[in-house]
Amino acid sequence: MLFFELFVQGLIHGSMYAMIAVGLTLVYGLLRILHVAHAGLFALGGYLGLLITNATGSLALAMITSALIVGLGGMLVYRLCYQPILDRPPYVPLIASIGVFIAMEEVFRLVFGPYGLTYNHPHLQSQVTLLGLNLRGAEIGMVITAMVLLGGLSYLAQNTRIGIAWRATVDDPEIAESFGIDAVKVRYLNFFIGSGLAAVGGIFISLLSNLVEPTMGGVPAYKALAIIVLGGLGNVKGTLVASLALGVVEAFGTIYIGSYLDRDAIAFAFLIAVLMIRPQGLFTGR
Amino acid sequence: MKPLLEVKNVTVRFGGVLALDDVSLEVRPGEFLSMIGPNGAGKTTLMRVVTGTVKPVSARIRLDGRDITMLPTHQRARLGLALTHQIVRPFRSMTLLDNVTLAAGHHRIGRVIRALTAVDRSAEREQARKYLELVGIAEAAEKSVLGRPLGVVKRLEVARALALEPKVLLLDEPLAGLNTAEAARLADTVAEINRGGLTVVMIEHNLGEVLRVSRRLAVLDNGRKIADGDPGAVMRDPAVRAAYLGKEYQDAAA
Amino acid sequence: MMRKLGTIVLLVGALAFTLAGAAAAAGTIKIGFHAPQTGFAASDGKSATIGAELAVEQINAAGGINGKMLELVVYDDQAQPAQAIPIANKLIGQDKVPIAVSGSYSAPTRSAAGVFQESRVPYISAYAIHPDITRAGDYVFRTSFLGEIQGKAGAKLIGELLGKKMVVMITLQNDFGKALADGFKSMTRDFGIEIVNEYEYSIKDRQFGSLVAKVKADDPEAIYASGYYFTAGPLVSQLRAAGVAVPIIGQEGYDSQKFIEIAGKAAEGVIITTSLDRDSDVPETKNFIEAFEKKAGFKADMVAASAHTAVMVAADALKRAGSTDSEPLRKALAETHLKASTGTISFNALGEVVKAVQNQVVKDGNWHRHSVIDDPGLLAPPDK
Repeated sequence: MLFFELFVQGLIHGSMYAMIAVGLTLVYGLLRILHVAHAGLFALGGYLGLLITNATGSLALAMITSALIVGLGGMLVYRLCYQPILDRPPYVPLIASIGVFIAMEEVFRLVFGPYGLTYNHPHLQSQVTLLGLNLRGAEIGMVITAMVLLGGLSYLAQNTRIGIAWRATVDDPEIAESFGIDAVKVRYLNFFIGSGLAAVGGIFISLLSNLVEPTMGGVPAYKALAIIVLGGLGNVKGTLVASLALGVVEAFGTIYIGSYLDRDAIAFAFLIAVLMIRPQGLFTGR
Repeated sequence: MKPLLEVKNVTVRFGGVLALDDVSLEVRPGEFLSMIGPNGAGKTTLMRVVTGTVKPVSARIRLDGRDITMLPTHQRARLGLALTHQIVRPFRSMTLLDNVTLAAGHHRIGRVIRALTAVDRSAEREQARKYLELVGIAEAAEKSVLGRPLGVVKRLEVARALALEPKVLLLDEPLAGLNTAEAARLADTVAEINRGGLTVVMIEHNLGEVLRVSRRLAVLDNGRKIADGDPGAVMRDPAVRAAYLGKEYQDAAA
Repeated sequence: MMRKLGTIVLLVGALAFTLAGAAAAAGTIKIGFHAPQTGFAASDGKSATIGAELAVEQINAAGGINGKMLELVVYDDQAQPAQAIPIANKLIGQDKVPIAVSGSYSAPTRSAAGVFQESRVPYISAYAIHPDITRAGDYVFRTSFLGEIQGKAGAKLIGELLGKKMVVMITLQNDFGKALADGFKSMTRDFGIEIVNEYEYSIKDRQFGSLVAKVKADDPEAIYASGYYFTAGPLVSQLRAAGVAVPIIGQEGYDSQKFIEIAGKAAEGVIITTSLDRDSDVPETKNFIEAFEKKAGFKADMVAASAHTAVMVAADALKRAGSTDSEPLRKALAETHLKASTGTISFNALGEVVKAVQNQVVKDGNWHRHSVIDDPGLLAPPDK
């Protein structure tokens, strides 16, 4: 029973990772940029979600609004930070991205204070007993939302016009252009969707801990990078599998070897072990 | 007759090298124009200026009377310019059918909302299948691009370009790498499409096929156009012969 | 021409320097202060800084020290040891402070302590609890309990006062958490406590799903968990949400209103060992609590109280020494016997404070007194 519970907790944690990491792998797949600032957008999503919920009392409204605003924010980051330097070697956008992330953290601290904010009445705190486990509404909500959104994304990619256009642009932006696809519009959409997903992830996290802090993007900033490498750079399915796998590994690892290695050490040990066997990651990426 | 494609005064510089020097060309509706010339003459570069991939120092391009010189590539594609590439570039993560379907839905791509919600692609898929049939690779429609032999992929390039329903079809060495039988078949297909009314501009080295199917020949050498006109007359032009022919010409003319 | 310009600049510079020096000599006594203003510990740093500033304001309002006003020289160390050392050097060499206070965590305080000891500048750790801090030398003092002492008090609280024996420990993986755990474990036999299991977590963790599942399976009688409000808040809330109803005992890291805000109803009944008694009748404590809330706009926490106490102690030593020279100042500090917001402060030979532990419990959404542990034998800090 304990093992089952640890496993489920691992999947819950993993679905949180998935919502953040997918946006990162989408950007890498399209532009080969390590979009560290993504973690700042994740934190922004958490802040907006909390503030709107506290102001209006509606979590649903907060989620939609926050996702929209952060989606636009992601597009803005692309336009201002990445588009001007796309032709430079890859470490240039990476450094710019890190700079944006650090700036965002400090802005959060200056605007919202270093103490962090809490919900007036956190939603989804009621407990549900499922399969003999005591789970909170927010945990179940997060897993379901992750499945729905990521499932929707997959459907979009496979079955719609825009999905095909996106896949074409990932494969070969120049040729995609010559078939009438505006690569810039595809990029905007890419950032919009990835950032929106991260915002939703940020809101669920804040519900689970009832806390948003300026540094809440700190761990996702590097953890998500590890996850997309683990899953195969640019491979969305791989990222999802890697996220869940990592969640489960951490869940067991922190309990049984937690006195020797902390959570991050366990995560990176797992990453290194996998890469030694399969250097390209679990699935082949771009 | 008014030209369908007007290419005027194209000059392109790559670093210090003058790749194209004031080249002008006109293509009339329904023509089959072939461009030949030694390697490095600037043929592919000229095509890429027309599609917008290469930025010239100076140029004036008009498609069906409309000045497209300042337009980005994706808009030129939507106005009716399609290009196949010397080194084939299909979308590797998709099937053959998907590759062509993408092009077949070209009129929908522009509007984002419609593109997001357009799930029913059966009409486009049927269209795409027809193009695959046209170039003779319909049996491989559901297969992934990876692992297809060159002959198949080269024909996929053509099918994909056709699916765009262009006004002008630009082909960059469509026959390169194909054996004699395959090359002849593909050249025939293109000629047939041209007879159906589609304007074709083709870069090719395979002189045998070129002379068999095209009705007009332009020759580029060292960034300049040195001949333009009836294939026979052009081939007899001493400047052309001097430029690069030699052995190949003897074989082809025989 | 350049020569002339250079000479003018030099003269102006020299003049400015003399004036600055004159100003310093004329009016103020500086107290050096470092705390994390930015970075992950910025919340504690802000509280500590406001507490320290309040102390300076109150002293200056009462006339200053020996006729001079106090000036707090504040630096941001981001809770990083690497930042603390240059700051210590700056305070000593540039600002020439006669005494300094750390409003920061253990790691940076440890690093800075060595620098202050070498330069013979008295240094007070407000709330950093690592034992090595005072071992830097006789110029280093601490106004809050050692981690080990607090841990021992926790063992007495659980084993004797609450009568719970089967305990699960959840330990924060840093100097603070480990010191508390060590202290707790050293007294388990004395109070009949059996440690069912000990788990460690990282200061970056906010989601404790797997930990909670395991603790539930362990089924203890009580939980001894170390952390700061931003880890303890989520931890306690998640433990309660999973149906773990046993007493949870924490320490001064929880001691802020923020903990209660985050954990909400789950915070009710949580007991902590700390040094700020909200229900205190002692005027120093009561006044501090009121004045802090007025100045800061939010309720006082342990960190703010500790920083306030430390600055008060520094000012008191300055007053009794009557000078800013290092040896008389150090002697005055060693002879401190002052009532401050966090208790009566006096130091042993090592510079460690000897005072009672205040146990506070969350009742109706606020911290209130639960009990006091005043066992000198138990709470005696080491004296070397």
